[in-house]
Amino acid sequence: MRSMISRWPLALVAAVACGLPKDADGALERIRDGTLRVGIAENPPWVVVNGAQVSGIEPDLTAELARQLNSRVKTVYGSETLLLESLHRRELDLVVGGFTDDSPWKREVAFSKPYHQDRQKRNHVLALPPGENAWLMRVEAYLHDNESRLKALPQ
Amino acid sequence: MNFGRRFYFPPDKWRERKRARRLALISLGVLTSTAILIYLTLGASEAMKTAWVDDLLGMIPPIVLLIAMQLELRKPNERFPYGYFRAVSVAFLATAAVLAFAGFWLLFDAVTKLTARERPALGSMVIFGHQIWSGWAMIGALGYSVVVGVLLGLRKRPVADALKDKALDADADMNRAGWMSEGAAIIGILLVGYGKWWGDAAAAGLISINIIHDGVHSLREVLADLMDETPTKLGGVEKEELPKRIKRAAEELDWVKKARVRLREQGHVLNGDVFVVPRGDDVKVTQIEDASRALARMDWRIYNLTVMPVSALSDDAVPKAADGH
Repeated sequence: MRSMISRWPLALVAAVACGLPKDADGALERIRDGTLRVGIAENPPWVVVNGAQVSGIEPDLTAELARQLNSRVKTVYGSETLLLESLHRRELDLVVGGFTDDSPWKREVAFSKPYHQDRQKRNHVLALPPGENAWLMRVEAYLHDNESRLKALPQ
Repeated sequence: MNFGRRFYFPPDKWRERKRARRLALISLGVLTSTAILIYLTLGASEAMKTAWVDDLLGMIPPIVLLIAMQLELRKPNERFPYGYFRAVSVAFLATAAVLAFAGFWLLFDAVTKLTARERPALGSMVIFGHQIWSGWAMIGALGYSVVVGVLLGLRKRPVADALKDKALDADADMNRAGWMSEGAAIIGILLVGYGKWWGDAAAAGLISINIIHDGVHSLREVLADLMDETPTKLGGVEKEELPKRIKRAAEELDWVKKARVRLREQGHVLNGDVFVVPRGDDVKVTQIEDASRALARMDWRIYNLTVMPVSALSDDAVPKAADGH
């Protein structure tokens, strides 16, 4: 009994080795060489909407990430509430709108690690669908790679 | 105030008692370290939060046991003429209640998570500049906690056996509940890692049923103790043979015709009465005192054993089952 208890965690770790986490719904596989569905909620200077023209810090981040993953961006405009509800239902892959980590939506969607702290000491995050942990890891890897540039944003 | 003799632990039991105290102190230290470690890796995982609360609850049994062991050595006084031995029963009650509560809480938590279809988000964390999946850090913290939980539980059992200490035995159950729920959390995090979002709630739910079983079992045991149940074996309802043996020993005394015995467990010690029907009317006080001393020596736990001469044993004086008739 004793030896069994001490052996099974090792066996499990050996069996799974690498490649974790995976997505519950296969988001990353769908996005890579596919389509990235992005919700856009206006919140200057993070997200600036000017007619059909979208700009700002977070849309720039999204475009660069999509380039890296060779995916086509499909944008959806809407209010923060509608977009985050869609995100909770996994109808979107990413929502940008200048969200901070003290958002009350914390339990409904998955927020990335903070990529920037603004002058009001609020930590800025991107919103992702819950349970898509490989996708979350990928986004956070991208933010981590650009850490120094993002920390130094003049806001 | 002290009628009759004072209670002393025999030297070997005193050593076990010291060991029990040391184990309680080690438990507190270790649980503090695992609670800190799990708190640092907590993140968004509900399973980790459950394991953390479990760790905090696990500190209650060693704390109450330490207090009870301190109290039980106090001499009887005007206010507590029977001494403080029941403090250990109170510790047992607290431990059993915590164990049962932990089980129900875990089950409730798992069911709400499953019905809410909550999908846990476990992202990355950066350690020494490397980005790793936070699940690995959680599994590391939980794994450490499982190993120390198993070791603590294994060390407590033999001491609980030697002292016939039900509170310590229930504390070992609490350790087992802790490491089992942490093991479930590890499996849950791995399942989440594989994209099976329901994994950790389902694992936690299954484990909670086991913990509830232990808790309810302990509660029934301690409530029976507080109802002055006859001494029972550790972790069960099986009656001890001791009352029967004392009855037989009493009846072997040449001045005793018949005897009946009733005993009750009060923490570490046993108290009770021996009713004897003498052969003649000329019983001496010294005979009664000698009998009381001799019978009390039959088990180290016996503290107050009153030998009471009676003219006849009426059935309503002693419940028949108490001495095995």
